[in-house]
Amino acid sequence: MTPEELLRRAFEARADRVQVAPDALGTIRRRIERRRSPQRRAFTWGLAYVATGTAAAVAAVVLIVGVPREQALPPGTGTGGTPTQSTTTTVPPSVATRLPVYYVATSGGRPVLYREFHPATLAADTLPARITAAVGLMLRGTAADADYTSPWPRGASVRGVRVEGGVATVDLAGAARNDVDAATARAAVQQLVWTVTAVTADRGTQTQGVRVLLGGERAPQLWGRVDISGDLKRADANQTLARLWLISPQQGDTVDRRFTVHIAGSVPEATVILRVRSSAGAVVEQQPVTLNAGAPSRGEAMVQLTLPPGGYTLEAYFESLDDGSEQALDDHAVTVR
Amino acid sequence: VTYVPAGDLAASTWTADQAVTRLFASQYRPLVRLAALLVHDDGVAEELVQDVFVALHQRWARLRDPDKAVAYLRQSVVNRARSALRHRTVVDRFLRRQGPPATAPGADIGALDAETQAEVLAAVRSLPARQREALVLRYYGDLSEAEIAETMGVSPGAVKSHTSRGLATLRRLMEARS
Repeated sequence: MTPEELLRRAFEARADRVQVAPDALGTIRRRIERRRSPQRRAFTWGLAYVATGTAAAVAAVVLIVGVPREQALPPGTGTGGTPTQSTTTTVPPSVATRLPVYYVATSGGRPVLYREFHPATLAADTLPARITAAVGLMLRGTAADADYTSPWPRGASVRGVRVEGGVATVDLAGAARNDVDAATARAAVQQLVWTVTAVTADRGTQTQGVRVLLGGERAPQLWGRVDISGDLKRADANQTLARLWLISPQQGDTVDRRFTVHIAGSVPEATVILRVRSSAGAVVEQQPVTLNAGAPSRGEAMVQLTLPPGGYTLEAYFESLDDGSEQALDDHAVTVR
Repeated sequence: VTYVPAGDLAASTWTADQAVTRLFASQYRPLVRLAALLVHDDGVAEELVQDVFVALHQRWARLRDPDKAVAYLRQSVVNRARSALRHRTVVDRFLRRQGPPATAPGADIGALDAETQAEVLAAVRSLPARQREALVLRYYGDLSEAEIAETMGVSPGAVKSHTSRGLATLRRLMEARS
């Protein structure tokens, strides 16, 4: 028997033994429903998070502060805190909030970062608790937009977070080993750095570096690919973030008939095309949108739309100056109520 | 902004819900089988195919075309199988040390005996991911070289080389055994 014939028969015999769950369609439908959950409706617009990408915003002075090696950091309860935090005020038992979380997706043939906001409930509203929750969401990798993922190994978790002297130290468990290419590993490290620094910026705290511990220890490299021996800072936004973000509405959001679309990006001529499709796929609206800055700067724009109730997909992209092709498309399915 | 209903619904008028339901009926089982050949674990295979259907629902407005949707589903299964395997490398190594699982002999005339079948499958799973994908898509999926290239996101030339290298390794392994 030829190897080809052997393969055909072995594959066929193996495939014949596969049993599928009797209620698989029900499982899929429930998961789709959960993605439409109303908790995503409470999105609040936040200009404070928009990365401007200017050198000044990302350049950071790295402070080296020693962290005892053997000391595991308590989850979400950094002992150091920051000068802006006070322990004298009474904290409510739990705090519901929304946290910025970065994800990785492929655009233009390379891994780039996108950001979403996710609801979280914190035991106490401290900066370390916020970072712990945001990084936990990031590691879980369940973005609202199925195009976004997290390249961190499944099962990775946060052991502890400490914020001290302008450096956020994040101690991870189950994250030491992974088999990804160098570009993806670099994106994963930046995903962590941008998430942590977005949380701190949100709280008005300047973080000058992010330090990564693996199982409580400093490590020279992550996954044999990226140097993480020093304190990490945000890499250049143009090299790291997707060229174009459809910031809001987010994937799965429900909005009022009259709503605002928020777009940011670094695109030629500062021109983005915003296109709206009905749930059947028909184009119901298409318009050029001018951002307040063009490439290489990162600009943004807010556009008001009014649509009858129903399901829609919002698509934002820019046209290649070379061939007019659609570039960097980001799309979100939304419901207009 | 005024709402102007566009009359052009040429590709398909299915809603995302209808697309999931209809494509599930025709594609779910074949995709789970394909995934099982790639990841060697029926539970993982089924879970990742469900992920892919959830993702399809979100993308439907952009796909709209059932043919494109089938290509998208297949491509997503191959991609997700590859990433699932990365997380399972350690488990796989352990399982491989335990030897191939006992399987019931095939009842059909011309079916491979269980031992040969297990050996062929073990040889396939020892191949690099790209070679394994090319072999599964070709000899199980019966896809053309162009379709395999599209599914794997590589050039037809790369498909050729992955296939021939995979076959060569397999031939070597099977010869060493006899």
